[in-house]
Amino acid sequence: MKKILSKRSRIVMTIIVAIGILAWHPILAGAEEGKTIVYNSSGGVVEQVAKKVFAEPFEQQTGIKVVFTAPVNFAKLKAMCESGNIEWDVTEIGPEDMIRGKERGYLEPIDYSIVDKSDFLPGLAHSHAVPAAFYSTVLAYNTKKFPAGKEPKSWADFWDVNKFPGPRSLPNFPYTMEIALMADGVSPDKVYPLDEERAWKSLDKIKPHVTAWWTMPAQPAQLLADGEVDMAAAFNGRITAIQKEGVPVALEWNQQVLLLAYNAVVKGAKNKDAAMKFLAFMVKPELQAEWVKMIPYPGPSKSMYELLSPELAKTLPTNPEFYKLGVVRDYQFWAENEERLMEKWNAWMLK
Amino acid sequence: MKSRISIPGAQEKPRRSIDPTFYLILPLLVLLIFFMVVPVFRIFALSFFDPDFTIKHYMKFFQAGIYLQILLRTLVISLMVSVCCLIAGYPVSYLMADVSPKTAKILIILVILPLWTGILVRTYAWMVLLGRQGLVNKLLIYLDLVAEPIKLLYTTKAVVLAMVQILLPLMILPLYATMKGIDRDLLKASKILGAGPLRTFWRIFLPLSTPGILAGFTLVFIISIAFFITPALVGGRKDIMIAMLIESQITTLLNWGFAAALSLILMTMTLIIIGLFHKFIGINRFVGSGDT
Repeated sequence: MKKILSKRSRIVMTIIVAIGILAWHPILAGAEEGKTIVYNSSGGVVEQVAKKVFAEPFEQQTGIKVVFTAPVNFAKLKAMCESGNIEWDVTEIGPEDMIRGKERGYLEPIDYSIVDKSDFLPGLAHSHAVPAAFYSTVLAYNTKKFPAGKEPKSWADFWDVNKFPGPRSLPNFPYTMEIALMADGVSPDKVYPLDEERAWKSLDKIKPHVTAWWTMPAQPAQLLADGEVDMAAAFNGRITAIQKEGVPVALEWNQQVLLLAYNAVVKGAKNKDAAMKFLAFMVKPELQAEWVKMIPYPGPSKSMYELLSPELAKTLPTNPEFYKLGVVRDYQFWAENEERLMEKWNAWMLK
Repeated sequence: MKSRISIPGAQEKPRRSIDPTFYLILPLLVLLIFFMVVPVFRIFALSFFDPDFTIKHYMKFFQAGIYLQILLRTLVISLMVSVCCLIAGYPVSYLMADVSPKTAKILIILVILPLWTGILVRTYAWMVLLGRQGLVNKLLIYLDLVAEPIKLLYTTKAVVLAMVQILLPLMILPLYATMKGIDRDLLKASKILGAGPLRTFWRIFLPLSTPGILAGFTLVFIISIAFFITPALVGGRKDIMIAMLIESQITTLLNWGFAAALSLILMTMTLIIIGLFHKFIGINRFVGSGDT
């Protein structure tokens, strides 16, 4: 075969590619110890808003520049920590990965002398991560089918197929056991430790009445909008979004299951102190309020609600009024039991 | 080095030196080695080492009955889809091979057209059609055939229907290509020798079209077996296919070793079934028509 490129042009190509990679690489693109931190977020809109709300004012006040990377990836975190080549200082991290990361020593403990946790909603100051964004699984229903006065108000009502007839949709994940327990009369604060026996029995009762078991977050909202089901366990943000489009749905905050993503500092981060400062900066109530005006997933601050309009406040799961009605998912439990329960769940589905 | 590429149906002439066409497949070969063979070996290693040699992932698969059950369901659904595609696609291909070239062109465009739309879009279209408030139910109620909407969506039938529609072009195209190449004089000869149309079809046309059946069936079956989005969206709670299981092992449970074992078991099963099928059809071909 003839060589397509001469030796010299291959060398030139290699150099060009190498320079390109170096210039693009965030660490090398302008790193100066302590003056720059790398924040790995989920990218997209989240990155744009975080840049505007958190990173720009942070740089103005402290002189520390925040460089963004994406996406959130546990495998990459693992590779970084095991090779010792830490590229990120702060990373967004899912709750289960956060537990795993903590156990495997990939995360720095949070320095709560820098991060002010007094404004956090109760029970959220985790040793190795700061809450970043909340969403929740709520009971959503068709308001034409169930108008005001006749609406379901709890998971027990969702389970009551005589009083509230109609097709339903539930998540196709063992997490649904939380809902099943509340439907069986367990109060939200008693859901954990999870009584598995009781949950399975409760699930058996609703199983024949569930038309669709959803696997993707967008599904339940779509099912409600299409009139495919009259009631569903759905994520609050999706329901608020279709409400704005004029779909006749409403959601019930009672017995909501709160879920969240965290921000954490990577073990061995090159700019640990600056990273802690950035975490502390992000949870300031006035910035949290700005954030939630653009992204419907609030952070841990409770005093930000004094800065929000009542219209916006009533769409947010961490509104102290709603927060106390719900349960925050115990990810420690799921990190330990998810695999076993997933297997049991699939077997139960096939029965 | 053996390097000739063989085109189905073409006459092969033995040649000593490396065929120049080898260089044409070289880029594809390199691509396949790096993006197919190497990853498959990585998956193979992943399923047996954690980090020491272990067969625990395979033990888990065969001990907990549920995984075998899901594998079986996957194979049954895929088989149903392949058979339905064959039954639906064969007459269409026959027609396409029989009409004037101009009409055939239009038919080909009609067959290929859906391939330009994403699988997700076509799956959603089925949701719109089959839903409780969907077009099919509305029509049935309008025609007074049913009083209440009937449950069409979230059933195994919906999964098969949607998958057949999505995969049908992959059955029709190879069938058409084969049928187009069948010498029509053979059919005339059969008739002259006194065979009726049914006998002619059975003894002449069908055996000659088997390479197309094989190619179409194999394509549809292999793609069906890895289907993920469609069963997740239009299937009922029992329509779990193995690809969905692999996905949840990778993304939610992070159990890559088990996911790798599942993938390899699936691949082995697929190869065995395809092998059996080819053997079976291959024999049939010789019984039918002698040498093709």
